[in-house]
Amino acid sequence: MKIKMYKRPNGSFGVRNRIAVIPTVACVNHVAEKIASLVPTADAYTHPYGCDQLGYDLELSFNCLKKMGTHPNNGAVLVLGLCCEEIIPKKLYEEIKKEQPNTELLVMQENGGTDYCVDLGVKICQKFENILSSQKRVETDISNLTIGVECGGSDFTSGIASNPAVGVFTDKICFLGGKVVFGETTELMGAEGIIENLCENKEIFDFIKGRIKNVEDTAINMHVDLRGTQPSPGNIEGGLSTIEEKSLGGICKIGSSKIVDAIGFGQSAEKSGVTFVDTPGNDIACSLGLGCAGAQIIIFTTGKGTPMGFACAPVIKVTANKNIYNIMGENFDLCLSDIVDGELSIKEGGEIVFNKVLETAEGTQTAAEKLGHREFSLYRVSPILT
Amino acid sequence: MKKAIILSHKDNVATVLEDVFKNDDVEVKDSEKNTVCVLKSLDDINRGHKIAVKDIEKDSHVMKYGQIIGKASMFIQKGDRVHTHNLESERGRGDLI
Repeated sequence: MKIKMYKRPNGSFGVRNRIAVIPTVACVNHVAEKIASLVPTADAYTHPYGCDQLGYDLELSFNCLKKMGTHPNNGAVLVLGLCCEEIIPKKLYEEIKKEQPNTELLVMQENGGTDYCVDLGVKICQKFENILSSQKRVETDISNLTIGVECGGSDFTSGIASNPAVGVFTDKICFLGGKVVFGETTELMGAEGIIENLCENKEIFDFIKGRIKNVEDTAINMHVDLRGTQPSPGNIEGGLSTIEEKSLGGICKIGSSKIVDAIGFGQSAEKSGVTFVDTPGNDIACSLGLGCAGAQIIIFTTGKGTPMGFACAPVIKVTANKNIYNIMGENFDLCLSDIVDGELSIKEGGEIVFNKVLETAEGTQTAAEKLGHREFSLYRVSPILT
Repeated sequence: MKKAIILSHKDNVATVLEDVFKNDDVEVKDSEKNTVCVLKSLDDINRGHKIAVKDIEKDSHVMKYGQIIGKASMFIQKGDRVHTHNLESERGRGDLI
């Protein structure tokens, strides 16, 4: 099956042609936001970090920003630095430039103050806009798609309807040679029995089981009851009683497809089929992990409703809870509540999801994109020491 | 008659698909729309919450999706609402250490 996407110099394919304005430190966030607000196709990848970071934590933040710069949905990048931070602006610029020739660097301490740098940044982005506007989509195979599947604000409808429908989608796109990435390690706790049967080999299952155990051991060593957040008060109100119940509903997103690989946060999915990415359940951190793994589109199921989008990938919002659809309708792309009411089969729901993904891949904006939801944050893995 | 869905024949709970009140009759169907049982609710149960389709002894497993979703923290009678007051997680319980 063929679809039309943007071909990148590094051989990847994008479903969007955006400009990423990437701050290397929180101090320049306002400048990045102002630049992006003045250029329609630019997004500010603002985050609270970049400074006072050490070791693996620093390495991970650097790597995630690099992954955003080289993400196939971005056709150009402006790295915006201050210059005294640990994420060295020039180094990040050089790393991104190796894969994305349309990359520029703007460092405030070497150039000027806020207004001056906003003006300069806007000029750079306008130059990029001219280049990008002449680029055309090319026909390519659907196997060049990597789709992230994620859930948040789950309720009883998630496990009965929206996640199983996404599972049908997963089976179909994997059959066609595409990639699917999923994470939310905490929310696999209790679903190990199902995961073991889906893993292609024991090494993959041992990796996933080990990552779940890490989270569980952390809760145990902190002497906390995971039930304070898992399930969350909203999940409980929505009918989910335990983390096991939530996990068993969540795992339906990967259908009956084999899990062919398991990778750490910040790594790329390389194989056709389903890849596990070790991410937190936290929605924005999970989206970052899936985006770094290469997801060009994220399918996000929610029973309670959430408006969140993501900077590097269109987010398709799917619910099967008609009550929240009536309240927050503009935030959703699909409502599959007919599955809950017995009027639509899960298989038919999966086809609807598949068609929505194709439409999104070829340029139709998602609800989150139309509303300007392009959230971003980094995932910090160590405490602030200095 | 109120409607509920059971996801596996191994399950001892079903999910009610509309608000249920005490003494309502509840028809439990499986995913293929076959009626599995009809039972009388012993509680008010919100849409999307669970009803026991069998008696569940204290400390025994509560099953949904054909899998364990936790254990009964007290005896649960067929027709009872099943939620955090009588079903508890067995995972990530640092509070018990």
